[in-house]
Amino acid sequence: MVDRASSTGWLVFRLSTLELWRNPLGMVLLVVIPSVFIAMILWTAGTGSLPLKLYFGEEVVEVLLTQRQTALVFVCAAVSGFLAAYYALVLFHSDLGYFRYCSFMGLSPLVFTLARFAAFLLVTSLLAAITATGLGYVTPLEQPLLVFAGFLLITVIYGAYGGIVGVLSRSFMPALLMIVLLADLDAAWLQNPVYYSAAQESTVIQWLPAFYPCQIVFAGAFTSRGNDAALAGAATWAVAAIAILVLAVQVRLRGPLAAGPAGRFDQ
Amino acid sequence: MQSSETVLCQCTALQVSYGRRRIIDGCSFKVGQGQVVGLTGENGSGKSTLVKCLLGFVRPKGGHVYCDPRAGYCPQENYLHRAYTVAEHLELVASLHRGGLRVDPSFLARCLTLLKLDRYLRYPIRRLSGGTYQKVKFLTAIVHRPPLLVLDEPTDGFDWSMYLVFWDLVRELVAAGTGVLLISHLVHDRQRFDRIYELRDGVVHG
Repeated sequence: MVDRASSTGWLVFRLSTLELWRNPLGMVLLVVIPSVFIAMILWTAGTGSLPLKLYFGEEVVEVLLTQRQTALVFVCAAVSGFLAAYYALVLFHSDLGYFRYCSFMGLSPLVFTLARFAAFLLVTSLLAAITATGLGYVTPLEQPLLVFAGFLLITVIYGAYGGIVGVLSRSFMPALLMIVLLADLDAAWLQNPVYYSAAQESTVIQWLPAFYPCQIVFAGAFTSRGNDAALAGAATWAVAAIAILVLAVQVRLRGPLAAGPAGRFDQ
Repeated sequence: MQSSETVLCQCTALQVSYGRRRIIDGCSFKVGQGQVVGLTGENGSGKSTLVKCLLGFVRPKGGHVYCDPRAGYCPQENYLHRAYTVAEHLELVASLHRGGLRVDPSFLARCLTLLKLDRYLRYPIRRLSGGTYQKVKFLTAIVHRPPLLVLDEPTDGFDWSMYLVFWDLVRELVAAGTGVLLISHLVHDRQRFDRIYELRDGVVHG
């Protein structure tokens, strides 16, 4: 039974990876979009210094950074977040009817979710690695591995969010707008360290999903300290988001099949 | 055709609604082992909804439903994954053991030849013609040789020879005991059915 599930899981993973690979324009844009953002910052950002507050659990650390450094790191984190959400939205929304049929044929929703999400993670870790490496070329990073971990965690959390919205929404447009709402509000705006440092209600910002991964990225980029508090917070968000995704897929793939129609009887 | 007492699919006083609109209002019928049962009715009369309800895709408002959990299903919708090749799709389907059923590789190979699909194995599904797409859907439904087949307008797009191959395969499965519930709009299909139900005003007549 376990062997069968793992072999089907491997097959879904392989086919999902192939599916992503066969969309060359999507793959190219995954690299081009962060590059365009980085280029725009290098072109437009000033070199004046800004005082920023970074979250280290109970402790708040203040650092003095240039506008360019700040913008480069923040924008890369934000772009990783919303690109992951859009990508996962497409991956989990399109062809859901096919996988619903496969579920009818015996495909386990859990196997489907984990295999498809693993294929997504393979691509987004590539994105995180490319972004972290590219960032390292244009601005000095204190701890490149921690920066990579932060990028990866934001792609996991926002990827799961994109998957949840993609699975639960029957049409594409509302799902897309839900991604725009949260990703733009959280990852692309409120987690801006300049905005966060001067915010009068920073607690609200701390409750948003991109907060901890962004703080991991900032800690890795600008300090030589680890950030266990942010790592724990981000890991909690990631686990919770994946668990909700698994549940959402279970509901949509099995739907009435799982519950059985009312009044179903055996001979 | 054999007329066994083993019932593979049965509904009694079945009711299905979409919102406030009642689609099925008290349907009762059954499909037994080795029977070919036709389901006909006007466009939009609720035939596809009825079979979706039998298979568990749509929740009924009332009544009783029994359906063999190993049923094979060819839906009307074009549900196949456009990015996969025919071979990849069949590989995935073959890895799924619906109700413990396994795919017999020799049966699969024979079906691929009969349906003339062997030449399309490397084709992405998005590039298939309508008839070939339909053949892949039909093969997907029968590949496990299920005890019950539910086919929703399965011959759409088939050429004449493929239409006859389709019925040869159905007859072969029926001879082995498979029960078939088939939605059809083709008048000449009537002579091939053991029993015909007509869905009219949400009620089955037959």
